[in-house]
Amino acid sequence: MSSPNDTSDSKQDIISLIGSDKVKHSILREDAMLSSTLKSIASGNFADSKDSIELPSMSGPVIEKVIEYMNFKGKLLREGREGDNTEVTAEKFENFNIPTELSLDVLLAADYLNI
Amino acid sequence: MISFKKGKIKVPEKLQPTSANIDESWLILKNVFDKVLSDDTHDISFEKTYRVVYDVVRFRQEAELYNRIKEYLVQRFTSLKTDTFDKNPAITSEEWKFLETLGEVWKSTNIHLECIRDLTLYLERTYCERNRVPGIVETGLEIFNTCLLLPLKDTVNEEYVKGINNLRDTHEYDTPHTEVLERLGSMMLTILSGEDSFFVVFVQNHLLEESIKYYSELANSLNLKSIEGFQKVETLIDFETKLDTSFLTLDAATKVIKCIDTVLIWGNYESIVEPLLLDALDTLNGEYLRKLYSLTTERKYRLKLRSAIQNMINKNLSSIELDESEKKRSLIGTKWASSVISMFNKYNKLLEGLSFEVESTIDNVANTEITENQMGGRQLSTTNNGPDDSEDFSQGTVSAAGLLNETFSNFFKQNSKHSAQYMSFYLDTCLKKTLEKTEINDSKNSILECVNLVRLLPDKDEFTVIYKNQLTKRLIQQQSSLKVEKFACKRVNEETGSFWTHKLGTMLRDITRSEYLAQNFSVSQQQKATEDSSTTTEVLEFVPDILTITSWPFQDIDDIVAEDLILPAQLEALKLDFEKFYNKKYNERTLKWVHTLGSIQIGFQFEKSYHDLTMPFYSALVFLLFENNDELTTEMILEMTHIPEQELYRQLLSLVMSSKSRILKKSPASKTISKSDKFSINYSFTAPTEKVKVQTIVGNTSSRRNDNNNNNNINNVLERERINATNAAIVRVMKRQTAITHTELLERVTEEVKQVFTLQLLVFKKSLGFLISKEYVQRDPDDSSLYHYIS
Repeated sequence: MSSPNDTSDSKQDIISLIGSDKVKHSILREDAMLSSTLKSIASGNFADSKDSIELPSMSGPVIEKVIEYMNFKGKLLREGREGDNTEVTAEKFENFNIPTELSLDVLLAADYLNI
Repeated sequence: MISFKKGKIKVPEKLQPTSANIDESWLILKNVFDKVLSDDTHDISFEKTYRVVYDVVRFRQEAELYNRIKEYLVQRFTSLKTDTFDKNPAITSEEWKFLETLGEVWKSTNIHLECIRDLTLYLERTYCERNRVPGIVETGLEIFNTCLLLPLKDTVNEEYVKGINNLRDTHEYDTPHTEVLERLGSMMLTILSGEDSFFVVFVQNHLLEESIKYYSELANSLNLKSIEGFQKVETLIDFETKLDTSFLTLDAATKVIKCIDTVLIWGNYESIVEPLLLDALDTLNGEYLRKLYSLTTERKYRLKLRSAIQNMINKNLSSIELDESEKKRSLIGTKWASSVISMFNKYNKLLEGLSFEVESTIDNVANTEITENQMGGRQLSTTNNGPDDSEDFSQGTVSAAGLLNETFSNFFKQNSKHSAQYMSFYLDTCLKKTLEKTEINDSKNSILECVNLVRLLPDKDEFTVIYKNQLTKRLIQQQSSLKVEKFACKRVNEETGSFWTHKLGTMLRDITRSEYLAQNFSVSQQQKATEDSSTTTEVLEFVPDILTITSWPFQDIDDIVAEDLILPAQLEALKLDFEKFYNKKYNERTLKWVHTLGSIQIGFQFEKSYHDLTMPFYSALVFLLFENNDELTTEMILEMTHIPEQELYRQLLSLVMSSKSRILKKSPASKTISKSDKFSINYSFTAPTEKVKVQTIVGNTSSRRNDNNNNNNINNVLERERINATNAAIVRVMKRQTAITHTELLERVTEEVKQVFTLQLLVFKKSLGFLISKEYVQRDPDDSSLYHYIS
């Protein structure tokens, strides 16, 4: 598990995700790497920009939600709580709200990003 | 968990595919893959490609896509092979070229396949996992194998071995070539051919064969029979080990090295290893022994080595000759034993720290060897290892000490006629030296070394009996230091077990107690003398040895007790005094006087000189008669002393004949003694030293008889003790199992007593007969081979 030092170091390492609304949404690189798709894009030897990844299939709100989730999961992982105590994790997870009207979009996005 | 609140679920706007047509999508993908394979991905958007795959999968075209990718890869790898290898026949003519190219191809293929896998991850995640088909990389590797590697396998094989041999030739280890070999090695291990890796299926055997070939040729050019050659082999093997472990699996590496061992060394065991071994043993080069041994882990060879070492030592041992030029058996024995001991020490030092580990089955082998070595076929096979060894065996290994012990134990068994006796002689000689204080430490060491070997004697009881006799002699004649005797006794006790030696302890205790009694007695005598000064003017010094009958090896106590002996008045008084003194201390005990074991010291002024004469008791009695008589006949002496007649003749003869201590004269001067011969003191006697030891000479005729007698005695004692021990063993066995067959009983009893001696059938029969006659054991009335224990 990462130590607090690592966290502060990687805080500066921020990439942005660009959805169909062309707005940049910032996220810690470390958290973005939780998605294997984003990881491949960012690390592969391709034409895609390494610092701002375009995801034209997703709307701004969906991306925001995705980023929120990845932050949340990344934090849990860093704290080393996930898997330790499923009840606590589940409880925390209940506070994570997804608006009903977005749920299907978010689901598709999660599948696409493999998170 | 998503909580469902009221509200509509908004259907995403774009459910329509951007391109639903598989052919269109495939064109895009194929283009991308082409670029990936040519390492030209800079103008491709990963995200777009990924989205194409995503869409294809979403519209249920994934199976089609998967198959197209497969076809595509087949096509690509086939052409890769054609382009790189087939069209370029010169590739094999240059050394390393082929291997290097293949290595590069392998390296890039891996990268490409992983890249394609990443691009089509969505396909792999959904389609491959759900339908349990291999992922893109696995599929790709398989295709690589079938389309490229398999058709080339002979070339790969050949070139690979060539490469390894090339490295062997140059003896260079850290070259870029090693890296190539390493990469190819990992390739051949990664790629599967059926059940096993490509390497195991196609290459390994070829590699082994070629390695053998290579080293066989090398072996011919090396001179392996010398230590120098051996050193060369060592470096070769070192190099090979380093080489192999760097790019082969551990398994393959060990196999290759084993092959080399076989080819270079063990294959020519007789012509290479044995001379080397003998050389190492001769020059006492433990280093080489250890190296030779560590060269192999195979049992077969290790056993060979072991037995070779054993044979060698045995040969050296057998070359120790009995020095027949010495007249006395004890001297011959001592010499022999000391050579054996020094040889043991020599080899012990040599083999120290070498672990000659062989699996536990050595036990059986050792057993059979011993059986073969036994000359009397009727004797049952037993291993005669000390307790240490059996521990070793149970752990499955034998240390070098075990090997040595085994060898010496076998050697003693071969020489069982005299080994026990001679070892005892050696101890006797050592112990007799201990009167000189400076010798004590040396003697202690010699004793320790000797007793170490005693443990390996096949018949320890025989040793104990002889040792006991000699101990008796030493103790009574005060020929050794009591402290060292105790030390030796303790060691013997530890090695042979207390059952056989606890009497030795009692003997030593008797002596210690006697010393104490002697002190007390002389004090009380002096007191008496001062109280009663009128009767005795001088006090005789008296050193009693009070011996517990049962512990000392005297055959029949009544034979040597001469009750009706007439003692001079002074001695008689002393005897009575002591009896009184002793009875006061120990009421219940009776004293029997065994005069023959004692000796008397008499001071006498001859014509020329004064001498302290130490003489046997009977001789002294005879001599003392001349205090009051000038001349006596044999008959008169007999009457005045009541010394047994035969004994008296012997004593008189020695007093008259002995060259060094002729203190009596006889008339007529002849070499035999008759009843009417007259004796008188030989006043002209003189000797260079003040102290003279008057010895009883033994005539030639009687000596042989005596020697035989002695041997018979030992044998009798031995047999008696063995029967006793066998009795006890039988009873022990039968208490556990009340009905037992003859063979089983014999086996068990043999096992019970083997620590101390080898059970002979005769002893067993006698013992069993005794127990049956005493009704401890009963023969079954129906089955004569079955015995019952009667409790």
